[in-house]
Amino acid sequence: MRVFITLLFVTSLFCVNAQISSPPPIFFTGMDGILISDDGMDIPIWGYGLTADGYITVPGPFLEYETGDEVNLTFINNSAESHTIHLHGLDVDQANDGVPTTSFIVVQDESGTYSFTASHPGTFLYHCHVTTTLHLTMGMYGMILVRHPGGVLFEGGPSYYSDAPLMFSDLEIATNLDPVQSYPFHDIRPDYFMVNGRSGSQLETGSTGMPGEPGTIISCPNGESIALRLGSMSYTLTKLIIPSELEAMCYMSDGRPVPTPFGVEELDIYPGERFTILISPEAEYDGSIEVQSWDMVNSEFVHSNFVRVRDAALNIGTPHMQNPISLSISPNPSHNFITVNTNDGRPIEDWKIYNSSGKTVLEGQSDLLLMRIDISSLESGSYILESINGQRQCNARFIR
Amino acid sequence: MKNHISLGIIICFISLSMRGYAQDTLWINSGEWYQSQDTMQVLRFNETAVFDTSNVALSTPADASLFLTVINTDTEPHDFGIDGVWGLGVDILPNDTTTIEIPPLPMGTYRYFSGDQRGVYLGLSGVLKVGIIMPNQFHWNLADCMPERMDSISSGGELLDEELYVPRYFSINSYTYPHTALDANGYVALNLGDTCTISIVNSGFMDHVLHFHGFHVEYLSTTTQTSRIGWIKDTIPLKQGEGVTLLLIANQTGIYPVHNHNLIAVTNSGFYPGGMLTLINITP
Repeated sequence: MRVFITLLFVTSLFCVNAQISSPPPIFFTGMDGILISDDGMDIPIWGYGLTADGYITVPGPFLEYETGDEVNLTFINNSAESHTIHLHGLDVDQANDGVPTTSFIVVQDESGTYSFTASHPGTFLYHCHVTTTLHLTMGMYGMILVRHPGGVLFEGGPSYYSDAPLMFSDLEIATNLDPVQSYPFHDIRPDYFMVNGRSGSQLETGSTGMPGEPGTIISCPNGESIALRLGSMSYTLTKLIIPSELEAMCYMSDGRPVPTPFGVEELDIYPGERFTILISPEAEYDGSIEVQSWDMVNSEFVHSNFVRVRDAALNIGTPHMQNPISLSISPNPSHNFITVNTNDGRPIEDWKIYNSSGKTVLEGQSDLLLMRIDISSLESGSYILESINGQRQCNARFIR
Repeated sequence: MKNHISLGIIICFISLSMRGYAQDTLWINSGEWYQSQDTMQVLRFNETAVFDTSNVALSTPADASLFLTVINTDTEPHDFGIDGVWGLGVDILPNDTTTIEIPPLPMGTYRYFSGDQRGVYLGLSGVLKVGIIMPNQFHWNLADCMPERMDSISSGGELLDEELYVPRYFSINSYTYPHTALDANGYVALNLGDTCTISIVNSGFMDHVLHFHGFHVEYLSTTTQTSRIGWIKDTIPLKQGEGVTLLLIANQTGIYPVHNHNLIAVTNSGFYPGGMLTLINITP
């Protein structure tokens, strides 16, 4: 199955008021996804997705639990290679650890279930542990957030208004373009650097550059504290430069409170580490957190991304999608027709198809939940289908 | 290595410093280290005149001077240093013996090393444990290396440009996975409910970061990130030269990896799995 990535899914990492989902999500893995780079390049990815959506993303779906939850995470392998899920930092038992030689491996067309108790609140990660050096640079990872009840970071910890997950990762484009020829692994040197799967201008404009697409902007209601949930799956050292106006305080690392919270304006986050930091921007604040990437072999600076932080009163639109998953396309890729399905029970209404340059190439209207579109007139390539129904706008990517 | 504390000497020292002392002996030996298709000429600090591929770990009481006798069997002179200890000012000539007084240090894990070019690039660097009294103790001496650079140094050639450094081997106590399971000092074998300390130094040329599966560990000491003492984490960065002491409580049974999460370092000459990966094995 050819799978694809949409900006909406990555944006879901920013769903600050996200609810704890009651039905457990069912994961699947794919190895034929596409990540659109900041300069419009299609980068092949492997990754995780939700079967309800049918596509994979980098990073994978954001998982949210509450302290004490008994979790069963089911995983279906739709790809040609074996995969696992390692629950990084959750201290699960050996059977559920996701390491092929000591736990279990999920081969093609089979499934497995990982069971664990979310015993500690905090920020955690997950990733495939099969040929890990390769599978991670290809994109097989995501973030897990375990919230503590009562709107506090942990028992006896500070209260806060909402969460802003920031997951740092990178890849070496040449490896992703040709993973079969990627040996030896010791010389992987990333050259594309992401925050929540986005890079450069995508962090403000979104992944495709389409008009109205929300970016990765942290919106801060005046006087409220935002919990930055920071985690790295990089091959580089991530160094955050945090403006003093944000009054950042670090309260947790690796899913445990730090004994003495401390103010932070610079923070090193090594691969696999996590931190939870509260920020409390001043009124009318509008600035950025710099996310630097440093080569770990030669200790050289290689790249900067910027995550914008703004006072919500400055009215920058809606950076967080209310319903990130509401559109699916099949078959994908397709040569002649695609069937578009809205998963939220609302008709499609207005729709447009954009090419990779952001130009509208097809458009129309429909009052159906399920619609067939003739795409035979389109050139081969990747496209974005946008559907607008009132306040609901959703997008999905397909390949012709 | 066995340490000796002499009550008589302690009494003599009381008038000077109110402290005790310990003594130990190190040999600087040369030999070969085999990894995959590469054979590297290396130097090691050993506890006897017989070459061993691992640098020996030293132990000494906290707040006591350590009188260390170093015997240099190499063909070149070597100096001797400990991170955080200034002014040792030692130069050990070939086939010579020198006794070094290391001043009292607080509890913790430190890197001892030879800081001259040949010592640095051929692997003269080890673990010094100070004041660690836990019955179950393990140590991990982390290193990375590029055989081509070692060949150049061992043959008296020029040091390759640092920018061209591409490490191909990543080791713990000079073992690379899967051979790390053969290392009694590094392979953590405990019974359920046991506790242990793990003393780690980064003897490499780059920062490393170790991730523990199945467990969180507590920082008991660190030489460069002292604000982290008392933190409980599963992912432990080690800056170049840093020494860290961790406390691990064996609170669940099973076999769990500990590995570098800069994933280029879990390879042997580029092939996965390998490198800086060892195991924790907790039995009921």
